[in-house]
Amino acid sequence: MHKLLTLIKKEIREMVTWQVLVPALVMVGLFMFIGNVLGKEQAKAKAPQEVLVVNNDNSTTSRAMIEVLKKSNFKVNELGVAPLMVEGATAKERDKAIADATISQAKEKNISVAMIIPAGFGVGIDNFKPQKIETFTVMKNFNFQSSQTKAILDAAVASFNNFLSDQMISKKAGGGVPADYKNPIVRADTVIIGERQAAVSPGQVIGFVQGQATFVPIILFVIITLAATMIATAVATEKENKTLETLLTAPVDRRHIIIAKMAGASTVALIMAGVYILGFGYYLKGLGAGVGGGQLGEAAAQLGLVITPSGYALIGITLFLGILCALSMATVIGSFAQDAKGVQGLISPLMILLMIPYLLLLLVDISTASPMLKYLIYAIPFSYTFMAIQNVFLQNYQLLAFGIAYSFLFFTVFVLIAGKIFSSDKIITLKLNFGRKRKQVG
Amino acid sequence: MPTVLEVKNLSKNYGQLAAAQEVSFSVSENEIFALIGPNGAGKSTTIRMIATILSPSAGTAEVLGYDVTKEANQVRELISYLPEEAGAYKTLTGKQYLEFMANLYSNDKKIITEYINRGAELAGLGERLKDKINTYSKGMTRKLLLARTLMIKPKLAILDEPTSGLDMINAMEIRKIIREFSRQGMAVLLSSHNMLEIEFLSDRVAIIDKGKIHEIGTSVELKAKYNAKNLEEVFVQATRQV
Ligand SMILES: Nc1ncnc2c1ncn2[C@@H]1O[C@H](COP(=O)(O)OP(=O)(O)OP(=O)(O)O)[C@@H](O)[C@H]1O
Ligand SMILES: [Mg+2]
Repeated sequence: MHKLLTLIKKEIREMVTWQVLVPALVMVGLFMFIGNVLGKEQAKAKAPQEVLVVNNDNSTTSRAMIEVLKKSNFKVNELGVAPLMVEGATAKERDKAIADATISQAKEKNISVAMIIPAGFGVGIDNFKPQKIETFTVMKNFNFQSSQTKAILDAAVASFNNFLSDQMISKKAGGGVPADYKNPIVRADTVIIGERQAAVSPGQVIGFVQGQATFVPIILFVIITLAATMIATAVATEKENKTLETLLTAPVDRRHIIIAKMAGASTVALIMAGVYILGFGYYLKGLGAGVGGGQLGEAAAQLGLVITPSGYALIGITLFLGILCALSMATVIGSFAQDAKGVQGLISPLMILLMIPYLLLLLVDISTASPMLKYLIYAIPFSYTFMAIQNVFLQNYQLLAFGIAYSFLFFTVFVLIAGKIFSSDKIITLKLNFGRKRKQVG
Repeated sequence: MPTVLEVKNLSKNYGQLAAAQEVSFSVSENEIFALIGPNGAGKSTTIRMIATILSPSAGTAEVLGYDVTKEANQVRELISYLPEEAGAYKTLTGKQYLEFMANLYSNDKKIITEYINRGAELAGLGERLKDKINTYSKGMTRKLLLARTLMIKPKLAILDEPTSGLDMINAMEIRKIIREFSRQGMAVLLSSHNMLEIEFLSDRVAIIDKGKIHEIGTSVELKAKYNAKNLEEVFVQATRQV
């Protein structure tokens, strides 16, 4: 026991270094940051949107339109046209002056959407003639925010259209509620997940889940790759420096050497998994600040799209086992390498094993995939790692349990293989050199 | 003198290559036994089989009656091995390395402390013992490793090229230490390419080439047999005959 503890202490000391901790901490920071940014963006989208309106018509209709805009959560900046009326100017010159003033005002006040209601607009509408509105969009970039700008413009024009068509319908139809004529069909959406259901549109649910589940596999991929490479390198370095030879001649149980290596690796895996869960929690919290509960939050809770403590535990166990699988495989890989450099080439099969489920699960729906593809995905332990959060959301408890059992089995097999290698002289003599001839022990 | 190591017809094949063929010799208490031979002769292969990390293809080796394959655990209690070109854990300090290794050889706190103190003294690194091993020079690392090997006072020390990479002064110091420990009862099996070192240190020498032992004897005996002035001449003649 004393010797085992000595070995474990040394492994932890060797493996839990700043090279491991710093990326892990950076990961938490990254999660927090992304969650925060997304949360803030969502909050921003909720805040009143600013538009610049130039009312060149000044009829009852156009004034009512601006009132409608104000009621629909827009902050309306009005630009007076009176100062622009130069005596003796032609209509064309006047229009140009108004447009120039609108643009410079929008830029000056940092408003991205502006529109001009032309003279005669109200009269035209009263006569049931479609009218033109000039719109101006100031684009500063082409990312998430620019699509926001487009949404503001669309929403403003839509609210105008809505108001005006309501007005026209009630004039022509003579009574009744205009909205009923426009949309005779009212949708009543229900989304079903497993045994649960909620009255919510499918689009909202997909948006909600994707917001939470996009970054997870990428970061998981990075963590597993990092941890596996680290362990394989640690074993290969011990071989290269011959510290392993010394260790193997000491009066210690060779199984203890493996157990200690695994304990060290597990500690790293635990730290990683813990950091990951912590980071993910912060990420969700950041997002949640924007969503702010509400109707969607309620629907999500009804659908079980909220991770409960037991859900977190299931995700944690699955992730931990996934990392352990990678670490045990990497230990075997490390014992095939002659030196730390050799690990780079040897670790590629493990990378491919990670890559397959990562890409497939992004692109393919397993429930409808061909049997071959399905078995391939289910045979790779990392599939369960990548699916963990989704499975908790979907209440696929059977698949979660199977994944945990399968990963554990996979891990055990590789630990036994590692044990076999370490307890024979294969640990010293095994070497695989790509490109060079393969030597085997007699 | 009681026999500590008894090697009989020890062989090791790597596929087609016979790295060691029917190697036989014995080492007794207080004795320093040296393996000499050209590069690739099979010295390290033989040594690693005795150190319980390579399993022999045929033959046996016993340390105080314990078989190196069947009773490897008992053998490991009796031996201490210094690999050729070995390093140490770079993230540890010299002191931490000695502590780590000492804890693997005993469960008794008092004995462990004794090992560590002896190791620190043998390493002769002074304050540098508190520095990380990755700041050590090659010679400093070698001294640390030799100190680690001898600090537990093994019944049999197995030293693969113990002074390679060391300057003359440090090599001399280490030879003296090995000799002193041997006088106190420790049996030593070592390999070397330095004939001066062999003449100075070893009681008996085995000349090994292409996996086979060609001669065994004291350096005086071997020099007489080959009518040579020194061991270097013996080495050249003995390995040329093959
Ligand atoms: N793991 C291995 N796999 C295959 N062949 C090996 C292995 N280790 C050693 N050999 C071969 O066995 C032979 C003996 O090697 P060994 O290391 O015992 O020589 P040595 O006498 O110690 O040489 P040196 O003086 O260079 O240290 C060499 O031909 C070597 O190439
Ligand atoms: Mg050698």
